[in-house]
Amino acid sequence: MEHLDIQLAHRLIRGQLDAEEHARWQGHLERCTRCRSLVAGERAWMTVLDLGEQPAPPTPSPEGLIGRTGCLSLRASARRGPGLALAVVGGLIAIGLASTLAWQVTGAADGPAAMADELHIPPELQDRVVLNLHALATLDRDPWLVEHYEAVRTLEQLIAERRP
Amino acid sequence: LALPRTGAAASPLADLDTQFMLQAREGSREAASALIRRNRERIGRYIARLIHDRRAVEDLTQDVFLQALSHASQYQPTAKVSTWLYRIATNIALNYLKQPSVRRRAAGSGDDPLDVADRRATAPDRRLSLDELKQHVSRAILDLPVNQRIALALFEYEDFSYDQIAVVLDVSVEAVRSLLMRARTTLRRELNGLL
Repeated sequence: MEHLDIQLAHRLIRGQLDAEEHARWQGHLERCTRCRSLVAGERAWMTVLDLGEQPAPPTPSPEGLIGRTGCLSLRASARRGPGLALAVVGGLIAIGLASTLAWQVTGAADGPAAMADELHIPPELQDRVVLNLHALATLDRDPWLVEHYEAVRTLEQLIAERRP
Repeated sequence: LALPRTGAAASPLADLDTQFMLQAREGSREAASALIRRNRERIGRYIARLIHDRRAVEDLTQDVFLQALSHASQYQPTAKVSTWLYRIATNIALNYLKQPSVRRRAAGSGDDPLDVADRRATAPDRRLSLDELKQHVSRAILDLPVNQRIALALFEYEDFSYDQIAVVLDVSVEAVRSLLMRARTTLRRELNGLL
């Protein structure tokens, strides 16, 4: 069986695969250390990159914008026909399906780094930089790290110290 | 309820925004308004990830929708409308970034990086550490070369597939893969200094 690539790993983590594909890859993950490592690394990347999430900027008003375009014929009420209603109903069905299929594994207390260790992913397959960044980003979830954070010079040393 | 992910639907016509756009093309103000309301925040966030000056984000976001609605009559549902909006947003952001005054400001905006040595010295305050990490990640992303920044923003934050990013950037899928790998390598290098 082929292995996951980054794009597939993203879709798996974000619950964007259909049920059959999802089950197939879950089965593969149970057997494949390499893909488990990839998924753990991708989860860690997502956590780290979430820190770069921008606050919502001010957004323009639709009415003002539509007024400025001057290109839409102003047939507001007259155009409200079955097409729009069908579109909305179709959208809601799509939303329901998406919600049903949603499979988000985020916010686990142990995190990808711990998962990588628990799943016995060999060190050479772990992206230590990303996993340690993840640990730093989720420091609040790990009382042991919080308690000991002051005593050492770097988080890398701290995490190494915790490992047997 | 969550909105369907950008990459979820196979056909553009199955996409709600595309339906709104087609009706806006026919002159429906409600559909145009719905399209803007559904997309203005994410387009705004996307632009904010590409440019340093947050004050310009609202204006550029407006420009995206002005341009999209002004060209509504030309829209053909061969691609999802969100892909089309992101392509317009990308071009508008790139044009903005090319302005000499913006380039000068961007070049000078890196003069207040957080000092890693200082962070270690003040490590006891873990909330500060997290805030600093957020700033470092944001800064590291904003400092990426612009094409890498666009590819990363679309893939990591907007859930675009490689194919969709290729359409937005008008490059090959292989080029997208390469841009993303380079972006990650650069980020790893930049952020490794924090550990």
